[in-house]
Order: sequence, then structure tokens, then C-alpha cells
Amino acid sequence: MERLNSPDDLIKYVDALEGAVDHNKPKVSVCRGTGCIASGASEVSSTFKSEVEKRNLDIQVVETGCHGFCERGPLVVIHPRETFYQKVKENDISEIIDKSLLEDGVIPRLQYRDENKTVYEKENEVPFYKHQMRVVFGMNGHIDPTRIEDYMSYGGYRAFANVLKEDNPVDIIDTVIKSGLRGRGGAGFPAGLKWKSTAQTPGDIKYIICNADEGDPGAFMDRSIMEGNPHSVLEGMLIGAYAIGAGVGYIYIRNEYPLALDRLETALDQARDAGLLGDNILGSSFCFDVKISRGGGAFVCGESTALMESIEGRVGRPRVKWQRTAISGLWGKPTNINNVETWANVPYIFSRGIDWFTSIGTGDVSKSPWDGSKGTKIFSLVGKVNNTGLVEVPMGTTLRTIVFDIGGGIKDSKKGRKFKAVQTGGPSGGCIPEEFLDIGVDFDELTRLGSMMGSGGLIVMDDRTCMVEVARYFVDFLKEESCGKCTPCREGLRAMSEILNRIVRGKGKMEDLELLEDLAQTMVVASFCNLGQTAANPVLSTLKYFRNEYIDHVQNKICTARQCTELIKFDISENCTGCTICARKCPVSAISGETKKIHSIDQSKCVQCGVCYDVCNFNAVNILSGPEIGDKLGV
Amino acid sequence: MVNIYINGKEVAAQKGETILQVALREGYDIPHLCYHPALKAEGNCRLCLVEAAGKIVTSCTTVVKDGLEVNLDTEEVNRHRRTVLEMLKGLVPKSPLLNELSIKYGLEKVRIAESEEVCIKCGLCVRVCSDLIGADALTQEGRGTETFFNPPFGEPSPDCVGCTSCAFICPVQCIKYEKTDDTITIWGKTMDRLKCSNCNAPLDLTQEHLDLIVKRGDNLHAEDLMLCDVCSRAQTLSTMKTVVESQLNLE
Amino acid sequence: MNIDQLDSIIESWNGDRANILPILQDVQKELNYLPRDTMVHIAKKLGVTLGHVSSMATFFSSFSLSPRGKHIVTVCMGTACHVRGAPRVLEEFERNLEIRDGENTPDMQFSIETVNCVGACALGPLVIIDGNYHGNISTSEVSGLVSKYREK
Repeated sequence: MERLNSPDDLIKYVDALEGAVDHNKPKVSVCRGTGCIASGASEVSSTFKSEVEKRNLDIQVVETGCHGFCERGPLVVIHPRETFYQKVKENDISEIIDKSLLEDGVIPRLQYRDENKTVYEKENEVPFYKHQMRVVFGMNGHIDPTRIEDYMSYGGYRAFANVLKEDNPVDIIDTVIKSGLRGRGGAGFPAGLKWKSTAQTPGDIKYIICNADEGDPGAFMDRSIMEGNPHSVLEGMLIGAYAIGAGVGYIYIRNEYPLALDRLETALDQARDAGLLGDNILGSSFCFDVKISRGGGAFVCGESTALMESIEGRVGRPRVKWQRTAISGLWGKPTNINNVETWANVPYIFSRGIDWFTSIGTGDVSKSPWDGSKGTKIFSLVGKVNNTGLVEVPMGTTLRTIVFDIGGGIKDSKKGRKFKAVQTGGPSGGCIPEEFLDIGVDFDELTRLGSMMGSGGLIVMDDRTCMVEVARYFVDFLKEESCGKCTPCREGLRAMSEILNRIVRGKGKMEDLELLEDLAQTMVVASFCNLGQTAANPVLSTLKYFRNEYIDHVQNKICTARQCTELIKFDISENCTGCTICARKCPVSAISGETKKIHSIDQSKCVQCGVCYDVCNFNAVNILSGPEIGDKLGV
Repeated sequence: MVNIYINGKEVAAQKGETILQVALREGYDIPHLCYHPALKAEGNCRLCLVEAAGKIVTSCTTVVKDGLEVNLDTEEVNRHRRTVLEMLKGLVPKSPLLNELSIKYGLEKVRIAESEEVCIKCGLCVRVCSDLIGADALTQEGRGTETFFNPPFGEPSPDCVGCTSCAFICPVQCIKYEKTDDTITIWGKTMDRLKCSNCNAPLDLTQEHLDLIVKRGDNLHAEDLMLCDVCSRAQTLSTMKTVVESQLNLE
Repeated sequence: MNIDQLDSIIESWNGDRANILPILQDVQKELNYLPRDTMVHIAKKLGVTLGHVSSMATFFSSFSLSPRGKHIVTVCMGTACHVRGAPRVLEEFERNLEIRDGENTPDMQFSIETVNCVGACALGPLVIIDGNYHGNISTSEVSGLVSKYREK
């Protein structure tokens, strides 16, 4: 597009684009996030395009970013009716065009239906979406992230133009402070206060950084924002850079996100062409550009000093903070770091106003920027839940609403599976049991429960998830990801890993529990950086809320969740109809039996992989643990 | 100048000093392994914990502030210090230094599994090699529990000058080297020892190290370094003698 | 890769030592791993010590210092995949290919690697083979996937 030479030019251009959008025109939006692509969305969208072209139809096909309901992909929404189709295949497309675009019909086969077989037509009626409030994700299902004009046609960059035209940096920062925006990356530090201290530090060279090293396993909202609406991140960074007085911004993006990297690079080029990045932005004296820095596969690089070390071309090992980052950060210059979701919130605060933003969420920010949590938060709802995907809700929404209303409850609840816990905050977070399902999720409540917001991963666990094994998983994860610099993190995790691996094998001792707590307490106070200081949270929270499971493993050699392979045996009951499926699927040929006769498992061959349990349609495979093993199998 | 309080006693300190620097100067005892006065503090070993303004911090990385109240051995400090020590002893079970510290700080039993390692991963060797010697022959590889300090890829490094500083600074003396009259061998690399230019006695200096010193332009003269201790002392004496005699002559 | 190609990668990052990480990544993309002599050359060209290059290459988990198989099977071990059975999927790949995580098959056709979350959590357990995402993988699908790629 042509270079825009003043804020007014841009506002005029955006107004025109916005006015030209015909919301009644038939349009197909095909989700092309990483999840839907994995399920075949690229083929779906190219077939749509070729079919529309072949038939010479006036239908717009938009390849959008992630809609969030990744599990049901590829997702297609037909506008203006907003008919929602899921699990769409290439050979459905001709029919969709005939029935839902050229005519006003729907195709029941492709519609979403919940566990009770209720069918929902429109996207916003589907329970997964109905209880959400999509602000940061607002445009994700509508715009093509590779086109700056699409972002502008929804009012994009207008907030920045207005800020550049009318506000001085002090007022901008004041607005961010008053909005109560807290950093979405984990700790929830008020963003405005951070901006203020960087802005107030004297110096000609200042930096801003967008932390896109979304390392928490189970969290992928930042990836989706970058893939689905990269310009919103850039607009937030532009407003921040202008307010803080930064000339260069960095986006530090993790290595595992190739598509997000691609979309960001495209967005940067477009913004430069439009005169939104570079020298004399929109004809003003404001000069700012953004560079992308790639990570290399290291969780610790999400820690701010490690991230800066990595940008500077060194190993991502945290460094001593002799001074705050706002005073001495990247290359020793005043630096402000926020994560992707935080930056992406900024444009909306300016376009919709403080009152709107503070009306969402918890607490009263007029008392203090620390009081409560304002705005929405995106969670990635995954694990043993029916509807998995990305969920944006007002801060303070209860876990019950998220897990049961949006998530549709526990997977396989008809087979008796029950909710046990939800793990929040990634490896540094904790496990929250059922009794706290009705708390409203915000920064402070989660911390109070011994967990944390982290970047917003919500991993749902059912009664078949062993909490000791969960703790072992996180400890082993962190042991591998610890940078190795300080003793408590490195050696504490080594010791914890050894102990937990022993307990899940039924080789634990009761003294181990106390030892775990001792190690954990020292790791919290004595570790060098946040990774080590929070690394014990999964152990501490499971010991606090699920101590019985530890005791069962240690004293009774029972894994109540029937998950720890060395404490369980598989056995086939009289329910067996002799369908032979288990025998055919068993990877080690441990199951024998004649057709229509009860099968049996050769325990000496069985590797406890659980395939037989998964494939059995007659509930005939039992998982035994503890004394049951001796009772039933006589071993 | 600022004043801080250590265990209730008022102590003067320079601005920018760390708690550890002040406390050591004042004769207090804080256990530490990865700190060396000639090198920048890194805060790796976490043994130098103290309580400052009610919070537990590492004294080597905490800069003093006027009026700061520091307590060196509260019950909590001692408890965490013992656990850190326990972790280190689990890592390196056979270190005499760690045994000594255990007795001193009341660590009776190591409850965690013991490893076979000899290095406590404090990083002093790498820092002395790069920051003081300027050879940059050592590096830290890997991460997490699998992090190791050695020349790149664990192979003899072309950059090693055989100065053995790494071995001397290592608090648990796990870096071994061998010396004969003619050679020094360290990190798998053997280098020739230079000989005293006067008496031909072997020097604790290699050609590689001498070249590095000359290249770095340190304020040292190659010809002075080429003398053994005995000849160096003799030379100093004779110089002094000449000076004294000439002064006497003048009088 | 000859020296000229290597130099042009280094040049594309302005020969700037701050860009050592993307330089190593681009080299690995071409060569599938980081050979020793390449690292020596990069160190020289960027004016950094070999120790700096080796610390980078061994710290960041995306690098391999030895050759890898033609097809790289990456099993996601993120939390969501883990609770949905990723360890069993990994075991099944290990059984099927008769190698362990981090190893290559003797014919250098396959390597198995693990990654800590690629952010496709709703599709867990997830396996990436040669850059293609395969979601909701069950252990019984493993052998089919392997033979599909073996033929390629």
C-alpha cells in the first residue's frame, strides 16, 4: 500500500476501508491457525478458492487466524449468517457453496453438536464461544492476518494515529496505568508502571521488547495472536514505543513457531511500506522500527534477563540484575518488556477507552494499579476436557464456567471420568482441586491458591490423572530446562526428580515427602531467577491438595489414578466378548484368546501401554493397582 | 559512604559495595564458593545467603543501601544455607571443603541421592580464564543438570596457555594438572615450560602464556618474567645494591 | 556446504556476532546438524571464541551436533499432550523404529526427538514428522505413519 504521511491520512484511509466493508456480502472464513492447518485447513481453503473462481462467484474467501476451537478443525464460518461448520473436509466444499452460500440452508452433518446431541448453528451460539468475551481475539475469525488493509478495515491503527496526533507520552502512560492493565506474561506487574519507569530513566537510546517466547507447555495464545492478528501486537508496540521514547523494538519469538514468525515478518514489511515503522512515522518526528529475534529452544529465555542475553547473542542464562531493566536492560539501556498478549491489549484500551476496559474484570484500579485484574484473559483450555482450545474471558470468570460451560465438562464423563484438578500457570504453576472451582480467576486469586496465572494455560485433569505423576512430569521438564546456573534450581530439581521418579515406581519413603518440602522451600527463596523460585510449585501444590495420592504410592503401592505403569497391571474381565480387537492392537502380542471367548493377558509380556484398555468397547479391561493385583492375578 | 547494620552493629560501607564485600572486610564469616574478589559476582552457588531488610538474599549480589539491616545467621538463613549445602554435597560428595562447611554449619546428613561428580559448577574457572587471563579457553556447555565446564567440546583447546589459574581458583580443587621439569599438562594439553634465562631452572610459565601477556600489553616486561624466583630475587637484590651504593657514593 | 555458502549465511546476518543464534539455525537447516568444522569457521568469522559457539550449540535444544536421520519424528511432550498419552506414543515410536529418543535408525532413515510443546495443544498427542503436524495420534496409528514416511 501507499505510504501514509500523517495521522489524519491514516485515519481517513482507515475510515474509508471501514466504510467499504459490506457485512451482508457472502463471505467464507477458513481458519488457518496451526491447529486447523494440521487438520487440513490449507486444502480446504484452496479448494474453496478454486471452486469460487471456477464457478465465477462473488464470494470472498478469507484465510483467517486461529478461531480458538482447534480441536474441531478445520473450522469454516459462512457470513453473513455466521453458520459454523467444523471438521470440514475438501469434498464438503462444493456442497457448502451450493447449500449455504448460494442458498440459505445448512448442512447438519458439519454442524457442531454437544455431548447431548444438541445442534448449534451460529458460531456465537456454540457454548464454546457463547460464554467468551473475545476482545484481543475479536478480529481473529474475520481478518486475513497477511493483509494490513484487513486489520485497518476493522479500525486497526486508528488508536495509534490518534495517540500520535493528540496525546503526549505522559498522558499515554497515565492512561495505561489507569486502565489497570497488568502484564499477561505471568507475574501480572502493572504495565503502565513499568512503562513509566523506563520513560522516566534519562537516556537517548531505549528499547522495548515483545516477549514472544511462549514456553509454558500447554499455552499457545500468544502464538495465535501473532498468527491471527500480528498488526495488533505492532500497534501496541508503536503506542508503547512512542510513550516510552524507544527507537527500536525487539520481538523475541520462540523457535517452535514458524508460522507466527512468517506472519510477523509479513506484517512488519507492510507496516514499513505504510509508513508506520521506520523514520518519521506518519510524517511525525517519531522514529521506530522493530526487529525479530529468534529463540533456540530454551524455556528459561522467557525470563527477562535471559531473553536479553539471548538477543545480545549469548547463551540465554539469566544475569545478575544490578539495576532494574527499566534502568539497565538490553545492551545496558533502559528497556521495557511486555509479552504478546499485553501488547495486543494496548490498542483496545485506546480505541475503546479506560472506562470500557476497567468495566471488565475484578477489583478497583482507582485505588491502586495493583487492585484486581482488568480486561480479559486468554486461557488455553486443554487436557481431559471436551472442548479444547483458546478461550478469552473477562478476568474473574470462575474456573467452573471455563471448564464446564465453555469446555463442556470432562471428556468421557459418560464413561465415569470425573474432574480432579486444573493445573494453571505452566510448569511454575500449581494444581487446583475441585473445591476451588468457583473462584474467579485473576492474578491474585490464583497466587493465593498456591498457583499462578503464568501465561494462562489451563490443563484439566480427571480421576485418571495421577497427581504425583503430574508433579514428576513438571519437575523433569524443568530439570531439563533449568539453565544450570544456580545450585538450588539445578541440584534441587535433580534431587526432586530422583525422588519423584522413585515414588511413581512405588519405591518412595515417607521421609521423602518432608525432604521434598525442604528442598522446595529453599528453592523458592534461594534460586537465582523466577524459574527456580517457582519450580517447586507443582510439587508444593500437589503435596498440599493431593497428599493422599503421595501416601498411597509410598505406603500402599497404589496409584489411585491407575496411571503409574509400575504400580498397575491390566486384566481382562468376564465382560470380554472375544471381539479380538485388543489382541490385534497389542503392540507386544501379549494378549491371546479365541474369537468369542474371554481373552487373557500374558503379564510377562505386557508393557502396560494401555492400548487394550483404550480400544475395548465392552469395558472389559480392568486396571489393577495395589493389593488388587495379588487378589486378582495371584502375583 | 553509607552505614549499614550487620547483626545489629553499625558498619561503614562504600556506595556500590555488596553486603558480602563489606562483611568480609569487617571480619564476618559468610560461606561462599563462587565469589572471588578479583572477579565480578555471579550469584551462582547461593551459599552466601543472609537476611537483608527482612528478606533472604545472596550477599554477593546485593548492593548496600544506607541503613540496611543485615542479619548473617538467623534460623531461616541457616536452614536454607544447610539445604543449599546439602544439594552441593549431593552433587560432590567427596569434597573436603564441603565436609568442613557441613560440620561448621551443622549439616548432619545428606538425604538426597549422591552423584559421582567432582565439580560444583560454580563457574570460577571459566570466569578467571576469560576475565583475568584473557585466554578464553574454557566454556560452560550444556544446561540444567547436564552443564559442564571445560574447553570447547571437552577437547584440548588451542587457546589454553597452561597458566593453571583455573586449577588454583577452583574452590574444590577438581581441576587437575601435571607438572614435570619440562612440561605442564592441563585439560589434556601439554605445553613446554620456559626456562630461566639466567640459571635455566624451569619456570611456571609457558611460551603460550608469555605470548598472551605480551599481546594483551599488560604492564609486565617479558624479560622480568623469564627469570625464576631465585634469580629474580637475586636480580632485585643486586639492583637495590647498585642503587644503594650509588647513593652512598653520591653522599 | 562449501565455505562460500557458509559465508553467505553469515553475511546475510551482517556478520554480526549478536546474530549467532539465527546463523547457527540457518546452517543447521541446510545441513541437518552442526558439524564441528562449520562451528570453528563461524567462530573465526564472527570473531568469537569456539567456546562461545559450543556453549550456544549445546545450550539451545534445537541444535544437534551429530547427523540426524532423513525423516525426523518429533513427539510433543507438552503438558496437554502428556496428559493425553504422549509418553505412550513416544514409546510406540521407539518400539517400532527400534531406537530411543535422540537416536537415529542404523539406515539413517529416521530420528526420534522430543519437544516441549509446539502450541498445538488442542490436538494432542501430537507428532511432527518432517514438519507436518499429525494430531490426536493413538499408539495404534504409529506403524502406519512410519511406513507412510518410509516410502517417501
